[in-house]
Amino acid sequence: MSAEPCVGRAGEPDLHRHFESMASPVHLWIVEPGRGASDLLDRAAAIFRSIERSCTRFDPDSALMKANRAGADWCRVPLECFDVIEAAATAHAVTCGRFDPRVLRVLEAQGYDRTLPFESGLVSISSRRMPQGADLAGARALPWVPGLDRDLACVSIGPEPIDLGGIGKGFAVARAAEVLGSAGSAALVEAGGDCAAVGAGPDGAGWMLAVEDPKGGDPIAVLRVEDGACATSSIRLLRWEVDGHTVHHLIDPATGRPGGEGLLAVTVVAGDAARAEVWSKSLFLAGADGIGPLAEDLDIAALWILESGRHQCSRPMQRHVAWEACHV
Amino acid sequence: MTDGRAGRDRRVIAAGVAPVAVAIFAAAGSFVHSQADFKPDAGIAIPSQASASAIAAGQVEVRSLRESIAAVRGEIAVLQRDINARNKRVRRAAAEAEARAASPAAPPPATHATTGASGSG
Repeated sequence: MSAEPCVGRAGEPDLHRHFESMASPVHLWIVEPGRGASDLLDRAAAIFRSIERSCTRFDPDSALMKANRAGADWCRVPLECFDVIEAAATAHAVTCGRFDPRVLRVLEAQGYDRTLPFESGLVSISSRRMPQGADLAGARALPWVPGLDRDLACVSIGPEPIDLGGIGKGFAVARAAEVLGSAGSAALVEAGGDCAAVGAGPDGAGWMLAVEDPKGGDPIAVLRVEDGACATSSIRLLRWEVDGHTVHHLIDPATGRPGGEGLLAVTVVAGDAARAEVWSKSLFLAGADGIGPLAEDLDIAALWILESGRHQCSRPMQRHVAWEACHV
Repeated sequence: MTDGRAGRDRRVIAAGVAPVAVAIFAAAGSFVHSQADFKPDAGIAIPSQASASAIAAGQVEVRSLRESIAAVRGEIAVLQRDINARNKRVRRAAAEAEARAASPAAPPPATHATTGASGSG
């Protein structure tokens, strides 16, 4: 988050920009925009485009996929791709391996090797090239320590290819929020569930962020966030059938299989969107039994929704809860 | 009690203080740190227990009863302010919790964005 003072001009109409990036609708919003705010919107949008271009796994010519193919060999990548890989390596270390981007082969083996039409209903596909579980577990048994040379913008991914889908979007949201930090009296960056809230919102009472109910209908809660970010890891949308079995995209690195038993979604409020994204995924993988103690131990503001539809939240999250649904 | 500036134990004497005044000292938390401290040789001394040499050596501080009571009143005022502030926080938290508990009947407030399931990059 930028520490620069906001330069918003009272009375100026808010600026909005909508576009698609990383398979998600993106919304940029500047409250009481100051001079140059429109240019800052352009810069923020460009951040999404450049990170999407270099970090997508669906384009074999993207910088990420070239680095994946290079394996342990050094590969030069654009600086924004380098930054995301470095952020992923840091997240892997900070979460003690709970966050592990080396799940690409598992996702591909489950048929998620291209953009799937999740919005149109449950996708059913046949598995192929199902990797040997033991081999994958062996590859991930060691901590992931990629080679990173910032001076040369070179990376060495290692033998197991990586997926930067989640953290890439969180990183883009965080970077865009930094750019918009001085664009007005407040700003919001929203990208398919990842949100960064700059300042205290349009009316000075905080940005009000609804937490989607995975079962549909009204939100499960409304969070008040100021100068922070939130992200949700959910299996409502990104799940599909493989050979008759329902799977989803949140892979437990410890097993190589979809994780988070007993949970439908986890929302985390953190200082920036990349951290919120990393911890929402890491806490999700702890499952219904493990998430409460883990969130409390790590002092993370988390709200999780159980398979029953009931929700719970950690103590640090309680101060953000402006409204929540009642379970009758 | 420990006087950090002097780096040695100092005892406070409330000259002519009655036992009830000493009890006020203890209640205010000003001169004793715990129940265990509330004894003559661990923080509060009465004049008869302080030797002249100890007073001369600066190991004890002599205050008049008036000064002692004024100090205690000051301490009590500070404590009262802290207690009032804490009570205010507790009342506000309780009101917020009550509002949240009562919220199911109310529709969710207007929101600016939604976090939930998302696409993938």
